[in-house]
This record gives sequence, C-alpha cells and structure tokens, in this order.
Amino acid sequence: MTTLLSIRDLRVAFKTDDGDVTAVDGIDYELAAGETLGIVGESGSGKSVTNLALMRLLPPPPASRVTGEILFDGVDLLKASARTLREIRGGRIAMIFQDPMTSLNPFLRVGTQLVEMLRVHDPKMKRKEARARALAMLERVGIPAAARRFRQYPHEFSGGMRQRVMIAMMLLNDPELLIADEPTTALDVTIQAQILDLLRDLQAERKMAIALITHDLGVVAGMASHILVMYSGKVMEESSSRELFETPSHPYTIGLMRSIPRPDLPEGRRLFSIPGRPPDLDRRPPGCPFAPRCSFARDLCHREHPPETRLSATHRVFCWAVDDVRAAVAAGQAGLTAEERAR
Amino acid sequence: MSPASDQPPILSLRGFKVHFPVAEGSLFRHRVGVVRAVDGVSLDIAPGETLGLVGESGCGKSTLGRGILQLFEHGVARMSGEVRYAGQDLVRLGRTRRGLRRMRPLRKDLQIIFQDPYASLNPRMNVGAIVGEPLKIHGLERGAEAVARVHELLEVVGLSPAMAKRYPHEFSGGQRQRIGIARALAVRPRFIVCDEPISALDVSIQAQVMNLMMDLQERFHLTYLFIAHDLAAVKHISDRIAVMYLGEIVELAAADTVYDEPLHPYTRALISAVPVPDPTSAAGAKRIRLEGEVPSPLAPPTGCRFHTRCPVAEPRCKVEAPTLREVAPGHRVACHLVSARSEGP
Repeated sequence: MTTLLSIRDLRVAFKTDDGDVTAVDGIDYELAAGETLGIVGESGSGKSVTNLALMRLLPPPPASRVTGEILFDGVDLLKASARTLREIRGGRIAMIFQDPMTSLNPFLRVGTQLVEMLRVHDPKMKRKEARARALAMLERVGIPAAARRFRQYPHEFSGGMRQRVMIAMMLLNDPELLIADEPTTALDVTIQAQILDLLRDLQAERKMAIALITHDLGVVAGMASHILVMYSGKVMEESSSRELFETPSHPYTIGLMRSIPRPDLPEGRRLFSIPGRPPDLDRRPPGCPFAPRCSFARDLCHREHPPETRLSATHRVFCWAVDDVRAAVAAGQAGLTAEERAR
Repeated sequence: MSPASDQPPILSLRGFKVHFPVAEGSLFRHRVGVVRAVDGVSLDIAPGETLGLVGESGCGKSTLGRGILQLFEHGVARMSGEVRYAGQDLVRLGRTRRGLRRMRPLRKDLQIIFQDPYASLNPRMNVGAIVGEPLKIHGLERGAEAVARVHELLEVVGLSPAMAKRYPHEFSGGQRQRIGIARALAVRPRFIVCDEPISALDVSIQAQVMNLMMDLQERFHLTYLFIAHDLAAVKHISDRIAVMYLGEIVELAAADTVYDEPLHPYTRALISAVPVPDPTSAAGAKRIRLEGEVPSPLAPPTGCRFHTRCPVAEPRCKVEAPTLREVAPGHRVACHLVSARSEGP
C-alpha cells in the first residue's frame, strides 16, 4: 500500500496569557491510501488539534506555532502555498465534524451549499451538471425525498440527516482522505450505526482513506484497521486494530479498555478506573505524561519520555515498563495496582 | 445487590403524562398542538434499586425524570396521572399552592444530578456555598454544623474539604460532577434522579464517577433512576431497565434480561446498535438496522408508535396500540407480536 499521509514530529503550541501551551508534543504517524486509522484519546489528548493543523485551520502565528512535517502525497502541507491548499482542502482532503450545524451555513439552502462546493473546485462546471451531481450524492447518502430536501435549510434537518448532508458535501469532490472528527458523538446509537455503515460502504466504493477521531473504543473497533492512542499531546501506542485489542501494551490503553463497561462479558460490579486525571497542558510532567497515573511507573518514567519500542511490524508503544506490562497482560494482571501484582 | 422486591415500592407511577402545549403567535397566541413527551407511564420503583431508563433523544426520558420531581412550572407542562411517594400523589400536590407547600418536606427526599456539570453549578458561588445551599433551603444544619456537614459531604464524594473555598471553574468535569453529587446528598435524600450523569465526562473519569455512585448507594441506601443513552453504562449500574420510545415504556425487565434476551423489536435494535470494543466480535454482523428516525412527538404514529420503523410490523400494529403486559415474571413488553414466554417476534 502506498503512503498517503505522513506526519513527522508534529508539534503545536498555543500562545496564552499564562505562557505557551503545547497541545501536540512531537507525534508521528502514517496513513496508507484506502486505510482507516482510528485516533483515540480523551479531551486534551491533542487528537483534534493534530487534524486542525493538518487542514491548516489553526490561527496563524504568533497565536499558534506549528512545526514538523505533514506530507500529503509528498507535499508538505505546512509549507504549501495558499493555492495548493485551496485545491487540497475540500478537494483531495475533506473533513467532517461532530456538530454539522457549525459547518453548514444556516442562511443558505442545502442544495446551494452543495453546488457551491463543486463549483469552487471546478469553476468551469455547468450549474445544471453541479445540481445533478449534488442531488445524486444526497440520494447516495440516504436522504429520502432528496429533491425536496435540496431546497431546505440546515435547521430543517435532524442531527443524523445533517451529518448525512455534511458527508454528501465532503464526498462531492471525491477526496482521497476523509478526516472524521467525532462524526457520531452527537447522535443516538441507532443513528450512529446508520452513519458508520454509510461511511464503511462509501469507503469500500471509493477507496478513500479515513482518519477517524473518537473517544469511543467501540466505534474504532468496528471501523479502523489501525489505531493510534494519544494522551496529553503524545502518541502512547499504535497498532493494528486486532493486535491492540488482543495485546494492548501501554498501561493507558489497558486502563482505557478496562474502564468501559462490557455488557457482552460477565464482569464484577466495580469498574476498573484509572486514578487521577490528565495533566493540565501547561503543567505537563517532564517524563511520560501518563506516569503520575500509572501503576507501572518507575523513577525513570517521571524524568524522561520513553523511546519507541517496536513489538511487531504493525505495533509500537512508548513505555519504559513495556516488558513488565506485557508480562502482566500475559498473566492477566494488567489491571491490578503495583501492590496487588507484587502479592 | 438486588433490590428487595417484596418491599412496597418507594415510588409508584400510574398513567403518568407530561404534555407541553405548543403555542404560536405573539399577540393572539393560539395552541397549535401538544408535545406528548411522557404519555402514560406506569411503573414501580423498589427501595434501594437502580432503575435504568434508556431511549433515544426526544423519547421523553429526561422529561419523565424531571416530571416525577415536579420540576416543571405550572402552565409550561400539563401533568396528569399519579406519582405516589410516601402516601401522597405528587401530581395532585403540584397543582395548588397549598399542595406545593405540603410537598416541600417531601422534596428533600427526592433529588437530582444533572448531565452538564458546567451548567448546573452557579459560577459565582464557592463550592462550600453550593453544597451547603440545600441545607439552608430546607432549614437543616446551620452555622458551624453546616460547615462541618459540607466538609463531610466533600469527603464522601472524594474531594478535599479544603476545596470548599474554591469556585466551580477551578475544577475538572469529573470533580464538578462530584460537587453536584455532594449537593444532591446534602439533604439526605432517599431517591435520586441521575439525568445522564456521566455523558459529558471522559471515559477514564466515567468509571470513577460510576464507582462512586454505586458506593454511595450502598452506604446511604439510595434509590436511583439512572437516565442515560449509553446502554453499556446503564446495564452495568442498573438492577432493572425500562426502555422508552416516544413517551411510552416499551419494555421493562431485569437489566441482564433486557440486554441478553430483549423481546421488543425496538430494544433489540437499540442493543444491537451498541458498538462493541472488540474487532473480532460478531456483533456487527447480526446488527438489526433501523430505518429512518424517531417520528415527532407532536404527532406520534397511530397504533404502536414504533410501527413506522419496526422491521416486523403487521397491519394491526398500525391501528391497535399494544399495552405493556407481563410476558414472563418481571418482564413486561408492549408489542402485539410477543406472546407470553415466547422467543419474541
């Protein structure tokens, strides 16, 4: 598979009244054409900022400072000209957000916005042709009575239908990469299932790559071939989806997995929970950011950030204690505290 | 820990309705319709149990929770039916001023925890004042005793008493939810409506708050109505689960039964739509796809309200509304196609 997107040592810092805050702290990853990468993390992990940087949607310096490389099909988006960016954004790379209401113009009919999307990227396209293509796309994403809906305004659509409109708009120009930032978080489970099915079908049909950002491990498990786990602006673990769920090797990944109730499995009444909470971004500890909450942490963890450990061709982890963690996972003791393991 | 089902219920609902008249026009206001948010709910809640309440947005689950506590202003909502607590009908008491005065001491027993820990705490009050306010309102502890009680409550929910002097913006989402819980516990309630208490929290914090809620339930013998759209969380914390669709309860049974042997086609679809955090799981393959979306509660469908989306609906479902009836001990379903002790449609 060819590499479509390659992010190298990306750092994003924001200027605030209280000094600089580093939201993304040196991350690397690659995304192959046609593949789905799940990016998992909690609030403040930097998962959304990474993608805003990719789309060059962050405020210009000095408000934010972005360094590193974002290579899309060989072009560094951080150095690209305004013209190149205009062609790529909304064309070869499309993005959908959690709340489609904020990305649709409330004053314009849905049809007008779809037609505009096509004509911005191809000014020579005839209005009639654009209209026909937009209408066909609305039908493709499952909007009933598309011709009537074409003339309606965004507020006349339900949340699920609005997300379909957004997807239709983003797919009009046949993107090679779709960035989906929490696309189903605001939707009910039955509607979420419909939207995820739609994304899966469209991907198979068009061979586009998807970067799916979510906090929901259930959603990535069903969608992604690869998963990147982020915490406090750093990558903790990256792996093929199957390996990650079979042999999670970072204490944070394990904690995250064990703290979700699993109705499909028999379990005890008390949920496992990770003690404490993520560090404030302006007060991140010098070593591994997860160390203060980690039951495997040792002195070194608090001083120095761990290097990458390769566990297989498709599995890497950043943890000083990875051998202990793997042994504990194998012994079925990964969720225990340090004292419990010692016993 | 199972609830004592042989004890009389702490709360009893009979044909409980919450309707919102919808008016249009600014000068000549006229009613254009009625939103039947809760439309004839009957159920009993046993002391010490957690009753989970699930359903999609707009199904009326939050309105039901708030309606039980009589939190709607008169004139905004029209309530009918019965909500019996401690020998009194709260719906009747809520209709008159005298009734409302008589309800005051009862309100102490019935508390609520809200979803949004950012919106439900007054940003201008420090945490001590927020947690202590219910004591003042209900004329309980005062002065030094009140301060001691607030400190005790903060400790109970896992915060430090020293935090009493700080303001809500200084806390994280999980800590704010703990403050909301401390405030609800201040008046020593018996029953708490938990309205999506963990939905706004990060995954690793959700588990902490759920564990806390289960500990508090055991310690203070609390009864919970746990409202959430996250089915996995609801199943974990609840003894029984009620499934709501367009203002009505369509299925009610023990949590494991609802999850493992759901009978109503809507419950089945809802549960099969929950994504399972396991890429090798077969759950995705046997998923029941629900077509379309929830119809408007302004004009609910005739007959069974689910028939417009039901994969197995028959002609009579369009005309005849099914009643919620017991098909197995403790398992109630409102569907024409489920016969007693059957495997479901």
